[in-house]
Amino acid sequence: MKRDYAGAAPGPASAGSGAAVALGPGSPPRLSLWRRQRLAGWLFLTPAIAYLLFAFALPIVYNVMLSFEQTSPATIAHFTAPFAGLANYRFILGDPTSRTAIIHTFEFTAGSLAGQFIIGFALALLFTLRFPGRTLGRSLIIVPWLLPLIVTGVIFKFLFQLEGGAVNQILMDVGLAHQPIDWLDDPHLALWTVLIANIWLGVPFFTLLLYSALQDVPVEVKEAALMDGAGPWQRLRLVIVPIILPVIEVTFLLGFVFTVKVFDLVIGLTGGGPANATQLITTWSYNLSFQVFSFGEGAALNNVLLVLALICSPLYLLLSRGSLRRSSGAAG
Amino acid sequence: MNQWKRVRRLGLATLTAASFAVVGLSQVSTSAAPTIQLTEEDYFNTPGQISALAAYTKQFEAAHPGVTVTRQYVPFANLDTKLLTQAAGHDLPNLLAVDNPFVSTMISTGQVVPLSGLKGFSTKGYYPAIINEGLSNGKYYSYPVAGANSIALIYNIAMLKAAHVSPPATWAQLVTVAKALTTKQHFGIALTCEAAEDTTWQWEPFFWSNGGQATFANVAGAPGVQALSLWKQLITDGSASKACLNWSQTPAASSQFIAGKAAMMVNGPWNFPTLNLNHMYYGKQFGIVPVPVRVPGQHVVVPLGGEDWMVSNSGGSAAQQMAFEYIQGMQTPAKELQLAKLFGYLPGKIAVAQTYLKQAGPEWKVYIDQTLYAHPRTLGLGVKYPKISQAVWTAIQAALSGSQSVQSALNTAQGQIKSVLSS
Repeated sequence: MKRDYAGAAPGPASAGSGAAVALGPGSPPRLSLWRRQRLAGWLFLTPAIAYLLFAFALPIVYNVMLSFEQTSPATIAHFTAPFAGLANYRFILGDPTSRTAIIHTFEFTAGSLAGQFIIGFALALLFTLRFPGRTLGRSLIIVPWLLPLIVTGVIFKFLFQLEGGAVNQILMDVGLAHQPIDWLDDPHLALWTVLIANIWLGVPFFTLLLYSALQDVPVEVKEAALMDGAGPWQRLRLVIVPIILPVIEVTFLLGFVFTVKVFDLVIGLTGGGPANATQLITTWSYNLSFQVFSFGEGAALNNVLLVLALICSPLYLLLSRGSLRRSSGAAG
Repeated sequence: MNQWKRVRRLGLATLTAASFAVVGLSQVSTSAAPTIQLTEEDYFNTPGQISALAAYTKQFEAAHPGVTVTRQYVPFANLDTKLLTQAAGHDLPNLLAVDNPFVSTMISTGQVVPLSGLKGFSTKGYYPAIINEGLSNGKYYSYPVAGANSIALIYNIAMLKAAHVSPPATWAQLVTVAKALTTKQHFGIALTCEAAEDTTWQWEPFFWSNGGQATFANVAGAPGVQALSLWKQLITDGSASKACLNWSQTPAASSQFIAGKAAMMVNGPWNFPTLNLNHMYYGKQFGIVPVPVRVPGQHVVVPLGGEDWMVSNSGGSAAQQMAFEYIQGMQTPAKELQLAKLFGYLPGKIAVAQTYLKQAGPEWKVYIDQTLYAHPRTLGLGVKYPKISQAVWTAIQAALSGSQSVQSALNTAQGQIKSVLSS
């Protein structure tokens, strides 16, 4: 049965001649089936690729193009404007407000993430304890999520008002402040106020993710640590945190993405003021593009944000791969 | 079976005949009167403005068979951006009503047509400041929508009486009167100092009346320093709330006045309907005087507010001419009076405004008188105005919030303005 053997053999030369005889016309379509499947695969991918090109690549490319152009309302009716070289980037580097906006964005993001993590983790730990009203508390915690950001901005504006604002009223009633605090109008305080509002907004996200991670910490591990005589702080630091570390990392990264693009909240709360004290990259580039119509300068500043995001996404991939390895290692 | 077929065939035939008839009919109607479908965009949202435009459109359509005008409302904050996007796509509405500082930006896009090139355009009788809003390279691009508006000092009569003071005419009086009017219940005056155009607009009468240049090129000189120091003084004295750094002119500052939390405000006639709604009437609950000047004898120069009609190059010349006729029809004295009343504005023609004063009541007198000295914000500046205005409101915020001194805040602004002006 040499013929049959040859037909089953993987060698291309022998398979070609043997199979042609053994299988007759069945062999050539096998190759083209593979090719057809590949083609079908690409066909199925086409809508997704088209969407990605249209919705992500095109705006980014256009934004990069704009940032090298000398734009104005007079050039807007044409697809391209005169080439400006690095003039827009030079403007961004020389413009004090752009520079402070970049610094504010870093401060704001770092402050938000720190505050959101500490409060969110504390709440997540609290909800793992059994106490009356736990379920209600857990469902109430997501309320900030249900409000549109611009509404949050307006609510906080009312709360932090100089005269008649609830925050000042409470602080003065309990004796923590002797005179109304200038939350929104003091250039040194305004960024803190926006930060507080954003922390409030982001806490539910951290709480929910960390809470569900805490639920997954095996009871045996916790009990074993208890038996070994570990105190609460040691249990948290040496047992629980290492186990949920992958979730913490990913939560931080997603939180970073949510925070670095905050816009509505600041617009609703301070409009970037007083005197640009709360101007972030997002609000200032919006201002450059749509308030004073310097689209090129706005695009250049926005590209700074783009670079930040580009630095972040490989980091995310790296971290999530590392987390995966660690968590599978822990399981095994 | 056969019968069914026949019925079906009959039905099909009827349908075909009917559709031919429909096509025929529509062809007949198009050849009888050319149809022109005009589109229009604006941000008018008070009941008076909406009904005024709807009534006029209905009348216009009745007088021009085959012409329809479809209005689209776009919120104030989005209109400029939307129009620029549409200009980028060569897809502007035939008619646009824009805030007057935006007129020169629209002209620079090259997507609007000069009205002075169309049949029937005339600048005769208009306040020069109003018709000049659309002047560029010797061509006129706009007509006022419902005339214009400006700002003046509105005061609470009862509070002034209680404090035994009379309305201020000079800055020195403003400082003392505002101080006298400040009690535990209310501030002397509600300022507007948010991070937006209305802050610059509020400060312009103080700066311009005091000898400030229309281009703000000398903003760090004496006229600017004096005008900003006045505002700073009002806040240091406690006569004005520092919370104004987050107040818009309307509704934030105006609601402070209406709620009795401020005895005075600088504001415009569009507040009359709201004031009346809150049982505040001119001569009884509130009075109006011009914005105070530093020394007696200075002219009050106010910025000119209001919207302008523009015609885009969308559609053919027939559509452009028809769009122009639509806005031309609003420029008759009778229509101007009607629109001004429903909008809460003052008519754009001098003679009509005088008639209006007799009809509309004395609360308009100050506004009408000062329109002669009103200054269109973008005149000679064009698309540079938004950048200049931003430098100015940022300086105002910096000085009032205390992050910079008055002089250094204005120095920063003047540096920025000089580079904008020379670009």
